[in-house]
Amino acid sequence: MKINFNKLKIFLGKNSWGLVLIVSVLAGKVFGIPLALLILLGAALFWQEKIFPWAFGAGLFLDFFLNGHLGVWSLIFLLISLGIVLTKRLLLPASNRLDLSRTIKIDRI
Amino acid sequence: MKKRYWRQWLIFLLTALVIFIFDFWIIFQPFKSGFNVLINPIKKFLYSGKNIDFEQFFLTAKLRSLKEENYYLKEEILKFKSNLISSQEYHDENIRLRQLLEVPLPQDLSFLPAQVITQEKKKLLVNQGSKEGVFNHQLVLTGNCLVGWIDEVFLHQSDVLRVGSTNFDVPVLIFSNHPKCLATPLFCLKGKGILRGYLIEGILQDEPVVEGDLVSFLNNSRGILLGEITEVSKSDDKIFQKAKIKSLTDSNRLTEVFLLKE
Repeated sequence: MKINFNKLKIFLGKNSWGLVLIVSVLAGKVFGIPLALLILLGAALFWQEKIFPWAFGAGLFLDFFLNGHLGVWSLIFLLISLGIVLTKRLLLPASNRLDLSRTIKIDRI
Repeated sequence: MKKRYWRQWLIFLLTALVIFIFDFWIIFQPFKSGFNVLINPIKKFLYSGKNIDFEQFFLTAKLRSLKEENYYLKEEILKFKSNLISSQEYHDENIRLRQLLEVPLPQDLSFLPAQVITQEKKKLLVNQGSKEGVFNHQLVLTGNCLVGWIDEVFLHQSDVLRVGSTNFDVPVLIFSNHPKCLATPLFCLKGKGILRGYLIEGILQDEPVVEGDLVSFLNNSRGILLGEITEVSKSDDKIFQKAKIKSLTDSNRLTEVFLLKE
């Protein structure tokens, strides 16, 4: 039980942006704004390449949720996230990038 | 970007494309139906949430806070009012005690304090009754001025017939308005008469009664004043004079009176 709880805790810690993305699909329905798209923009900016699976999943979930044509929102989300990742890499110098997808290893002096 | 992520992105893109193309057939319809069955309660909940009037919600919250504020302010006002009333009571008591100290009433008189419950033009209702030893025709004073006498006694309340009412009928003594005369009105005697309402009748023509003279009981006055002469006029029979009096008590602001114990 405790091991499962720890696993869940680690999963939530690692995938918080993705979960926020999924929840935003539901929340967007309440507030009547494309909240998922806005969250995706933010998540892609800081989480970079790690957002791709979540962009695909959230898009598919949105398609199912809206009962629309499947794959449409997945394609849109994937293209937007790629666009943001590439834009950030091309326009911002490496020193100015805030990258939350990588952990920094500090060597002991 | 690492090749791994490119490859991952391409795989996702291709998958999405395949799903997109295959969705033109009915291949995903069972999945869609299953998902809808699962998601329907959530959808219902969300749609009910969509109907929430957020503006109304915030307005209600604001209204609630205003109501609370109003409640506290009302409480504050009540506190201030009660403070005001208590200070007014202290003020009245202060005046009463000052009057008691200054009035030239005999020392042997003892009083029973009473609160005025209701006031009418001719009557008062006080909160002392037969249980407290109140009896008929007991004199009711404020300071050294007569308010009236007890007309009807109940168990814990009594009716007071005021000076000036038509049933108030008593022989009176008229004397000069001079501080020395208050203790011994007989030495400053100017006339005698019978008080009915606010009118003194039966004053002899040769008695030098003038405006401003004071009126007290004829028998055993004990320094108690009934009023002050405001007008003197000849009677129709040319034998007597008649005089109008005014009460010396502030009849509209009576809160506490004293019943004279005998």
